[in-house]
Amino acid sequence: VRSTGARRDSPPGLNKVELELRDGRYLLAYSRATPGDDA
Amino acid sequence: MPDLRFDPLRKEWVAYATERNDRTFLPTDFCPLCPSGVGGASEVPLDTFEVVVFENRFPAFGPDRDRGRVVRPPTTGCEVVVYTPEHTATLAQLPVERVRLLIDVWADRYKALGAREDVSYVFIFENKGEEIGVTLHHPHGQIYALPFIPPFAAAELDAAGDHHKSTGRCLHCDELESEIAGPRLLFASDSMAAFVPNAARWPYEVHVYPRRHISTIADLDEAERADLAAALLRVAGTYDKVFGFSTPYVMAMHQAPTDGNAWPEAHLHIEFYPPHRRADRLKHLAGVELGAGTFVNDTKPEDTAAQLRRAARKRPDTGPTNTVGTAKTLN
Repeated sequence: VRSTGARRDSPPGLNKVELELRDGRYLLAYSRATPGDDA
Repeated sequence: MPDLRFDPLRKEWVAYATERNDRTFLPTDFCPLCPSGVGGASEVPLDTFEVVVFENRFPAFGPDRDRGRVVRPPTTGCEVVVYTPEHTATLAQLPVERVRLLIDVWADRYKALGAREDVSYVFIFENKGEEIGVTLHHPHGQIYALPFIPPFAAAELDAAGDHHKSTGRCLHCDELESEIAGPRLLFASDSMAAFVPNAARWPYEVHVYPRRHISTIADLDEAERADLAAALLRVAGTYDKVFGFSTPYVMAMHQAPTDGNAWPEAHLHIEFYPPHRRADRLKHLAGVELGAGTFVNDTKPEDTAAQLRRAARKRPDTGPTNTVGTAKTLN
C-alpha cells in the first residue's frame, strides 16, 4: 500500500486520504475533520 | 473482464463479470473488509479507519487490469464503502455521527464519480444479509458508476418528467405531500419523511425522502444530512424491532443522473426492500415477478405501515441481537 497523500478536494469538514493498493486500485480513507486539521 | 450487452427486446443493458463467480464467499476465518494493519492482507491495510471507499476487486463494471496496470479504460466503476472497522456491527447499530459521515462520503463519491464523462448514473446501495446474497457480512455498501441510466431510475424519471411537463410540479413532491398526510407514514421530521409507498412491491418496503425538492445526495444541507442520518437509523432499527432479528434488506438510492443533462424532475430518495413478508417467511421473486414483471404483495401497505409504527415505539433495549454477522471479530 502506498499513500498518495491527503486529497486537495476533501469536502468541507472531511479529511480524505488516498492510498494506492498493491494491485493499483485506489482506497480513500475518510474521517471527520477536527479543528486544526490541515486537510 | 466486465462486459456489457444490450438486449434490444427489453431495451436494457446486461452486465457480465465472470470473475465475480469466484469472488470471496462468506469467509469464516478472515474478513477482507476488516482493517489488517499497514501491509496487511485484507482489502483495508490500515490500523483502523472511520469510513473507507475502495475499488471493488471483483467489479461488475470497471477498468480491466493486468498486474496493476489498467489495460482497458474504465467505462464505469464499482466501489465498496466500508461503514466501520467493527466487523459485527450493522447500519442500524452505528452511531448517528458515523451515518452522518457516511452521507458526506456518499455525497463526495456522487460528485467525484458523476463528474467522469463516462458515468451517466451513480447508483449507491447496500445489500445486507445472506438472504439478499451478500458474500461478506462486514457492514458495507457499494457504489456502481454506470454508463447508462438504469431501468428503474429511468422509469421513475420518465413518469416524473411527464408530470413535470404537464403540471410544472415534481411528481415525488406531490406523492410525498399525500403520504405525509396519509395512513402509510412512518415518521416525518423537519426535513425528512419515511413511508410505505402506496404501491409497495415488497411487504415492508419503505421510502425515505427529503421534504425539500432536492435532486441529489450532494444537494442536502447540513440539517438535512443530520435528519437523513437519523431517519436511516430509525428505518433500519425499526425493521430489527418488528422482526426481532437483524433484518436483511436492500437499500437503494435514486437521484439525478450525471449524464450532463438537467433533471429538474429528479427527487432524491432512498428505498428499502427487506425480503421478509413475515418473520419466518421470505418473499421470493417467482413466475409473475420474474416472468411478467408484475409484483404480487401478500400484505397491504397500510397494515405494514401500522405494524412498523408500532414496532418503532418499542424501547431500544427490546431490540434484536445481531444475527447477521458472525459473533467474533475477525481482524
